[in-house]
Amino acid sequence: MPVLRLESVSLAFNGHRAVDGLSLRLEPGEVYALLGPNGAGKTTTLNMILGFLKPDGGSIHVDGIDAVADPLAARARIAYLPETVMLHPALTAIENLGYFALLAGRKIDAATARNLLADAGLQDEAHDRRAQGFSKGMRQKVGVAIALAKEARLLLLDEPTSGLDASAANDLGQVIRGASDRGIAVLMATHDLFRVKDVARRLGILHAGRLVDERDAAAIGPVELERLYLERLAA
Amino acid sequence: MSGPRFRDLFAWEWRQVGRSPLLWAVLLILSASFVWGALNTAVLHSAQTAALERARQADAAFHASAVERARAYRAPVTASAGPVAYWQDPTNVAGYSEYFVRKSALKPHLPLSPLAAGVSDLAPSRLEIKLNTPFGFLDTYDFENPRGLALGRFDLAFAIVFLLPIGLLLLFALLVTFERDRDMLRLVAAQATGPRAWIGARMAAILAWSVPATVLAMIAALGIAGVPLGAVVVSLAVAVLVTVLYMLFWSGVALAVLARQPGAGAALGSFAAIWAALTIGLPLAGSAVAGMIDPVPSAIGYVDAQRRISDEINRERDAILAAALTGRPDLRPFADRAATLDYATRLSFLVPETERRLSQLRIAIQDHRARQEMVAHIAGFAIPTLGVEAAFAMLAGTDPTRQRAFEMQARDYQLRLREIVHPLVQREITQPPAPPDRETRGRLNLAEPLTLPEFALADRSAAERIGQVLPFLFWLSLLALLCIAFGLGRIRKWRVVE
Repeated sequence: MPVLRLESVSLAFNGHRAVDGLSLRLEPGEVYALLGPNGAGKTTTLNMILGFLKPDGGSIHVDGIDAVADPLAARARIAYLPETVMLHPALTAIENLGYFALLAGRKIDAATARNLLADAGLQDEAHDRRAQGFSKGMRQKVGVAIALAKEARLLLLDEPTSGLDASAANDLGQVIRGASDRGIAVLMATHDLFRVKDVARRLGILHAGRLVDERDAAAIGPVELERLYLERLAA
Repeated sequence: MSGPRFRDLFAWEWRQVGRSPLLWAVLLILSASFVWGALNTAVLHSAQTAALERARQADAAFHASAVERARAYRAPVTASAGPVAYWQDPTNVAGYSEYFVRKSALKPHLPLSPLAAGVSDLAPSRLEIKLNTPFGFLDTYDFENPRGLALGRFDLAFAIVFLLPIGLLLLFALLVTFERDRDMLRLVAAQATGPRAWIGARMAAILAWSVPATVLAMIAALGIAGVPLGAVVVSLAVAVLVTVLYMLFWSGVALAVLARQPGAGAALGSFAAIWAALTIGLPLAGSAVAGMIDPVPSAIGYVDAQRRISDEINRERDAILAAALTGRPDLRPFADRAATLDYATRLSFLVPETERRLSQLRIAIQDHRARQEMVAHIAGFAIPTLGVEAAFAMLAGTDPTRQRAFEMQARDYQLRLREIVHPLVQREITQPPAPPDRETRGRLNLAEPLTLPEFALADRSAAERIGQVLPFLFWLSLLALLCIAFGLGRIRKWRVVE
């Protein structure tokens, strides 16, 4: 059974079709990169999968659950990393992780929390520091730990490498590969063509709400990918 | 895989809300305002209680001086101390009736009075009762008391009714909208918790700190203000219950607004508008509408009527007296003495006639007042701020109903005194006083100043006062539940995408 299945999903805002007949299918452990410029409908697609927006047409199933009819149950199977992770400034990294894990229906002890933060690449000395002084990269790592703590079947990443330095982006790549190895399906919305090629198995190009091309990541080189991307957007 | 249990979520929120400096700042300010309000009223009531005691002592001293004077006037006339005028003579029954009957009707404060100033700083708790004051006592305070224009006293009831919602709404507005304003709401919403449980747990945690703190502050404030807490346990419990339900009502209102998951600015704006409407706008509008539908009888018109009727009575005095004497079989043979009656004896006939002529206007005023009280009672159900104020005043014994009962009993007391004294005065018409005994200074047609009964306010018991509050208590419970249910019903989904 696919972890994520979108069938002819559409959504329009004020007459403008943000997503138009989008169909996707992610199997366990699959990493799918949804490429596209700003306004292509990537984040809107993630919002519909998360149940924050209701599609005008089509269906969305997460791990067999109708995400439109029962968004809460679907969300329980989804881990999500937003483009910019914001945390409770007065809480430490461990406390933040504990809070979001609690919201996800999990109770984690301090040792588990430290392991998750370490897996996400956050230095040990930052675990007990309040999040108010954290850089964007550090917050992103806590966000990754929050996503990992949920032990979800599907991981949604919204522009995950935006604003990260090369080292942090590389760490994130390893996390994604690790998740994939554990059978977690990953859907990432991004316009970072080059880094995504290293981690994704399939690539889809979204333009004006339509999936205009879909390729096997292993079968296409970085230069060809860029050329294809620009061609599709120009079409 | 499922979301968190509400109990776990609440426990976490409770710990985190308890760490908020804002919570403690708000609770501290509210507690201070409670203490200040209770003390403020206690000081007023303490001064009034002292004044009542002084009035009681003054009455006793006045009576003792009359007795002393009566004793002195039995002494023989001397060259330096001749007969005294009747108005100075307590041994003259007419003089006594007009100039020596001076009693006080007192309305003592109840033990829980620091809870609410009510009408205690507007209406008197002591009424001077003289036999011939029309309708019992001078009630000019109604329109001459400059406090009538004041904003009202800063009392504990004010702090609870007006300030407590502000503090509570501030906490809700800033603590529940925190995640939205910090761009955290998407990450929160993406977990497995629904918005209803999340908002509910946060608000419940705020209440779990605020309600006990408010109750403790309220009880402490009353204790500091000198309320004998052990003697008012049940009334105090009802006042506490009213306060808690009032907090739940405002929580329901807040929930209805926060269900839309606004930012702090928008939430505060909505709260400010609702607070102003419920505490200022609706009461003022209601008062204006009530005034238009049922205008207040003019106080100046009443004074004018009093003067006019007083002039009429003066003009028709002899005819009124003759008619009064003729109308009484026992006095009819002495109708020719009408023009020669002394002032005090004349008053025993003229004042009831004045009251009779003013009665229509008086009844209209009293009926209007009764209707106003009924409208205020009903308004208390429609506008909870008014209802809570009225409930506190009822429990404190500073409510307008108790004041009106006090005034009516004062009037009855005056009539009772008249029944005792006026027959003695009018008896002198049939048995004209002997020429002054030249051997004494006084007239001696009243052997001894009378020992008249004292006024004793027949008050409702604490249980009866609580019984008066119960219907509102049930209504407030229902209203709070409805508001909370309405608020919860409005929370349908996470609103993280604008």
